[in-house]
Amino acid sequence: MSRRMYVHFEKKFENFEVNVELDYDLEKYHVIIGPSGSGKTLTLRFIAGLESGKGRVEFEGREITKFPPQRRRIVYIPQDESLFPTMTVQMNLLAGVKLGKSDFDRDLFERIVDVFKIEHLLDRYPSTLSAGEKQRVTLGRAIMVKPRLLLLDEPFSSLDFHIKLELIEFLKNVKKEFGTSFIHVTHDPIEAKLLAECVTVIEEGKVTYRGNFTTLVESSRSRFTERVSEFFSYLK
Amino acid sequence: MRNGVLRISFFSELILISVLLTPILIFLFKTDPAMLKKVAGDGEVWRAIEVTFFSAFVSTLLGVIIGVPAGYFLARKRGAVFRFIENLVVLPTLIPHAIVGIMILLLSTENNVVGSLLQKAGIYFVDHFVGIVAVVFFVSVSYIVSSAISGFTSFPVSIEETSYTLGIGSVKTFLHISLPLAFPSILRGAILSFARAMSETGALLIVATYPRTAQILILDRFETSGLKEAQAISFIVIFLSLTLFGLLFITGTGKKRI
Repeated sequence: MSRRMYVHFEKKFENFEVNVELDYDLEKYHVIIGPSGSGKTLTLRFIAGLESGKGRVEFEGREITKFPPQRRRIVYIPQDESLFPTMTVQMNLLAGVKLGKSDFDRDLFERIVDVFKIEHLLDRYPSTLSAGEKQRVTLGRAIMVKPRLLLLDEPFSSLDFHIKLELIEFLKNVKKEFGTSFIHVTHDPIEAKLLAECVTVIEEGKVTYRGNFTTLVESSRSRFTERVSEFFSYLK
Repeated sequence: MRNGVLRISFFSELILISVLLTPILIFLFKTDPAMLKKVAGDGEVWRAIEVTFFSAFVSTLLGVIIGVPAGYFLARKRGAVFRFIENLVVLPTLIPHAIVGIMILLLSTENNVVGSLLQKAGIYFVDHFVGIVAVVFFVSVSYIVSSAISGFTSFPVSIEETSYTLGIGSVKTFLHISLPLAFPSILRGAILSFARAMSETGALLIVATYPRTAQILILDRFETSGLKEAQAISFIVIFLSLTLFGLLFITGTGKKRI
């Protein structure tokens, strides 16, 4: 049976309204794309239990809407840096196990250290790491608690292009290696093209497209998707 | 130094250091060693120093227990009401000391609900150690709350949010992640609060001149025995305070990792 997630999220602001419905097969790598301020981050935060709003979150048929974030086993990686600055890399990796309720899995820890190439960083503090190393440790820490879903909110927005490409390849490998489910929010069409097995476009608080990336480029359904098409035509 | 503003700032810094250090240095070097020896053997002086340090310690401890969670609450809440409360917290530092004394004195009288409840519970402020703690707590707790607010707002809330999604509960997130991040700021606030509590005189003259604190004793000796004796007691108080603050500062901010 494939792993599915259903989300319905509604929230009204003074000049803005979000009304999003998602039905995802979590075997695929999902990318949510859309212009800034369209409600992508709010939706992700609602799934993680960090944002209030009307609606429901169902995971494999079980409703988890009322669960607090710490009981959902859905790790949210925000755009800002989120490593714990007063802990070493090793302490960061083990934080969810030592302070949370996850069991320590030595094999998993060793695999993470190996796959994420962070053995030489274990005794260092986050302030001494490069941007790419920080992202690798952040992802490793998330995998360590065996989440059922990983939510990435524009994780590469502040990175140089070459580090971004390296991490994109790395994420594909992580998905294969650890079987983790991903929902990845970005406003970068290249990031979406390289990663997405399913793309969702959110514009002005609504889902305007869901499908594969090639169809999105050909469809030109809205101003945003038209601009994405133009961008790729230009690149060709 | 090519930058003109920096040059002016540098001279301002020199003036400031001179203005602050000159009276302290004159005070330290002009203290009579013979008088210092005499007051060092005076039991009343040590009792007063003990009352001063202990009341400041109790007040700071209460301030940390109450002020740190209050600071966390205010740091995480948005809106005009909470900003108003934040400003209200610093109000005691703006009230002249004698007026604070009158306020605490009035609070402890039988004429109001709080005062009568305190007296029924056997708690008296006038010329009691509890009164000293009440006064110094009132004038010093703001420093801890303000420092806690600035400590808890010095890092993004997303660090705490990520912690929750890693399965770490709110209490453990507060104790193991937020508190260590805000600790240097809270420590600075606690040191300032302790120093403020130790230096209070005006309000204590109204509420509790007994048991004698060092400040009250210095005033008393200045009037009865003269400047030299008051200066010698002050020397001991300053020496002990600076040693304590120096140790706290080194232990608290020595391991800077962020």
